[in-house]
Amino acid sequence: MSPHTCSVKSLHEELREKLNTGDPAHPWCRQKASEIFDLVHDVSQGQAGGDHLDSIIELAGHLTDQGPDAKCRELGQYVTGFVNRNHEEFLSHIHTHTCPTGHCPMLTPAPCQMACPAGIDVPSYVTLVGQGKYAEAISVIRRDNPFPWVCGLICTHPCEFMCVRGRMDSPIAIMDLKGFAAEKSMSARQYVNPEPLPDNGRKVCVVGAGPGGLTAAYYLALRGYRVTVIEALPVPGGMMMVGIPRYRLPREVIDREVSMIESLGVDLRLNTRFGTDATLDSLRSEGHEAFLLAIGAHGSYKLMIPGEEEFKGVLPAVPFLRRVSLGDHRMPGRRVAVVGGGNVAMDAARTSLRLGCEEVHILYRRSHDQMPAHHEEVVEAEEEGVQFSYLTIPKEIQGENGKVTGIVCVRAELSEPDESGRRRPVPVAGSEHVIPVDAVIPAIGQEVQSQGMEGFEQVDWTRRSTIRVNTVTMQTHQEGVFAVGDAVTGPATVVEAISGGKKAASAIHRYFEGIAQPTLPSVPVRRRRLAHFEAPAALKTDLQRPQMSLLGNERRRVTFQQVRLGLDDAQAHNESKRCLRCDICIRCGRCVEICRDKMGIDALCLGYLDFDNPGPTDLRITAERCIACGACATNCPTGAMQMTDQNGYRVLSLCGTVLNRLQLEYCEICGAVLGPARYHDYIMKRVRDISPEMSNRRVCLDCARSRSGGRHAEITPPRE
Amino acid sequence: MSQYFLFQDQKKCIGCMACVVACKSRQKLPRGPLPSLIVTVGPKWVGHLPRTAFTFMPCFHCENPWCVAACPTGAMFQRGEDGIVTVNPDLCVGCKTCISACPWGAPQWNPETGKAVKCDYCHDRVKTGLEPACVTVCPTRCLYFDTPDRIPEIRRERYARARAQDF
Amino acid sequence: MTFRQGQKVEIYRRSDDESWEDYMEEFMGMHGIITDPDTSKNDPDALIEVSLDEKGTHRLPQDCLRVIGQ
Repeated sequence: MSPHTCSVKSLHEELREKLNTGDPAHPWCRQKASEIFDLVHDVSQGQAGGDHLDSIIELAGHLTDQGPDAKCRELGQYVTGFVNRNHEEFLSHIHTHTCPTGHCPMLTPAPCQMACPAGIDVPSYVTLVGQGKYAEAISVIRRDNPFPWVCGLICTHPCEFMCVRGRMDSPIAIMDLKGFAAEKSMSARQYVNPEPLPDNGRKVCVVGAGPGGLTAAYYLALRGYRVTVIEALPVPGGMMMVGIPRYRLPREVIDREVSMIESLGVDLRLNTRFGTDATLDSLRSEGHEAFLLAIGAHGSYKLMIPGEEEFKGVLPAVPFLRRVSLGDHRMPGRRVAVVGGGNVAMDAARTSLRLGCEEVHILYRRSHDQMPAHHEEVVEAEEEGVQFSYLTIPKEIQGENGKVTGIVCVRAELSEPDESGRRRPVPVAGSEHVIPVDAVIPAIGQEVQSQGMEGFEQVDWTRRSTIRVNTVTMQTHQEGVFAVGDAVTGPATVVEAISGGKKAASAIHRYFEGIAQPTLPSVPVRRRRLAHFEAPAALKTDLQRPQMSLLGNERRRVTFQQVRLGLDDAQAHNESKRCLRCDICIRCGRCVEICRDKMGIDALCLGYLDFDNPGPTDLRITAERCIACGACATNCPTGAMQMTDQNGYRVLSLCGTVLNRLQLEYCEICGAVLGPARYHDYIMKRVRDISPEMSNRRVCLDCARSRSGGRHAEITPPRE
Repeated sequence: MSQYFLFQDQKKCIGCMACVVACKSRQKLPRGPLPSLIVTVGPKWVGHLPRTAFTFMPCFHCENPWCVAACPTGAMFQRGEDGIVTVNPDLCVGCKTCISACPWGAPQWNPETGKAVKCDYCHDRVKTGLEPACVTVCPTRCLYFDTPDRIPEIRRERYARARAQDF
Repeated sequence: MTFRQGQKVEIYRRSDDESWEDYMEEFMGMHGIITDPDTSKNDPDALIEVSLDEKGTHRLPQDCLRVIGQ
């Protein structure tokens, strides 16, 4: 069996095949075999209980021990062996409703959940938000991510890029809904920790209180470990606190979520730098048996131009943002030049504005289209009055009396794309000019500062100066030492650090327990299976992604108040209803294929189903064309497409979206439900050539049969 | 019309339903579908006695089948070699148009597979020289399966006898 | 090639980079979306975040990626 085939599914199919071909033949064995088949079926559908696996093994044991013939005993042995070999995969189907290979349609996570580095069960929490169950939504999120509020405000939300609704119009505001739920439940004092397992007495030390380190601390603490987190800075949160400016992420949000983690008994030691305030030896002697390095990437690349080291007023973005976050709100200068076009450059520029700088320039060597910063960041910076100088290359920093007075730049043109398709900025001869500034903030990239890590002798570093780990388990080359976050990936995202922290917590637990480490990345776990909302196709189509209100520009320029003001209740509830529930519909496209190619009706216009070649989607067109034959629903492998009779109507719905609703007709004789007139018309049109006079027949199957049976009955008088 | 004919001698039929069960069991059908059915008519008072008739209702395998015309996928078809009307499950998508189109209710719905099923005269058995399942199990031997020219002339003979008695 | 957020890409070959791991072999030929390119300076050597269709989000070296469609 190839490692890519789901073992549950293959046993399911093997047994079905056997039973269908009359194997085993003995009735007693057949009975047992079909009982096993039913149990395996439940497992593959995610409907198995805790004792399903034991029952399968027990039944297989019956076949082996009491089987009346050799074939029967062989089958028993085969099933026992198979289940034992694939024990873990069966357990994952049963306990976490997850098919690691994604082959069991009922257990396939939605694309948003798959895309989330932390693997949050997005459709479930989005649905819970729509039901007003905010605390429940938060507890679903925190199974995979202990920072729902932080991530609800600043996540890079890869989930939204993969959101299937994005192929229809715009993606669900997954991040905003998370922030909304977190704020609501925190405000209602319903944001609570789950019950941790009892103390197991084992100690783990986490170096660095950023998102990666604290996430690991959270999941380890829940498993009963005693966790010490040491942090060099006087504040927890790492780059969340000292990298992301307050107008994007208020300090209270970080403080509240960190304190939730601390309240699990995590020992958070601030102002404690590894290597000086605490050493490997001192921490080991305290009883720490495993270490997690989560030191981030707090170093800055230099511009490497003259004057950079010489004059006061040159301050790289990372230490600048850190200084401001720690409370130093002096402006870096009256006129500031930020060098670089990335997100950090935008943060530095917008922060400078808020500190009172009169002029803030962003100098970027390429053109607007090539700026690596996220689009919204650029727009918001432009709105606030940051001045952008594109195709501008800094050459030298000028100064007088030891202070910066200006930055010498040359203008550039973009070259034709080179072999790699990259257009390089080429300096224009004689275009040198001076931009008078009194502060320069280089923001051209960060690196990991490895100083102090020498104690971990066997930890290996990559050529990118990051810590080398196995990215499935976050293990370094040194036994018992793990690493996560920017220290491993280079400057990356909060949610990736969280993902690493979660993986590391699980790997550290396995390390302590002596359980073999996984070799493949884990598949996200579906936490809930919630019913969908019912909504008419028109509403589903017309609802639009909410426009979040922003703080007024005047205030944005002068304060660090949060810019994005959050969703209101109605916006959040409506947004939740826009979700297509891809945890139920796996977008296999069978419904469309059958309706169009087999039935020739083409009533399903669901172009969003295809990732590679998305086509147009029109949920309303179904009501115009669909005859309600139900073939789509019959062939839907997950029950996403459903046809039901409700209050005199036949209703076709996809994940709750009502696509068609036709009035039912009834049998003239017995009153049984027949189907809608349009269905009847479809059939009549097809059989017109055979029986033109039949068109008004409204008789159900049973009545048709008994009527014609009656016609053929021969009741004759008894023989005299 | 199929080249075969299934004849029921209603006089002999006692309505035991063995044929119905055998049919379902051969096609491995769950609860619900009954590709062949005994329709019970009566009891009616005939003279001074109550009488019940049991009509065997499989599929008539019509010459111009409604179900085949109604089927949009080509799953329901008439076999060229013998005229038997049957379903190709690989092509059936479960739209149930055949079921609604048949004036006699012969095609049935299998909820387990989501496809239509019907009497196919057990052509796989017939090919190997056996009789259809229903015919084989009938305890009163009231079912006959053969080509039309070899079907016993029971009804005609019985009619003739009855007429003769009238004289 | 500079990758932009939101671009559709294909993992068209194995990367020569040291960060390529064994489990990534099964990503070959898969399609995805760039979710977090290098956001500081478009460094062609940086590892960038790609969300693969049905295979999760991963940080990958850029030499195995090429833009498709659009």
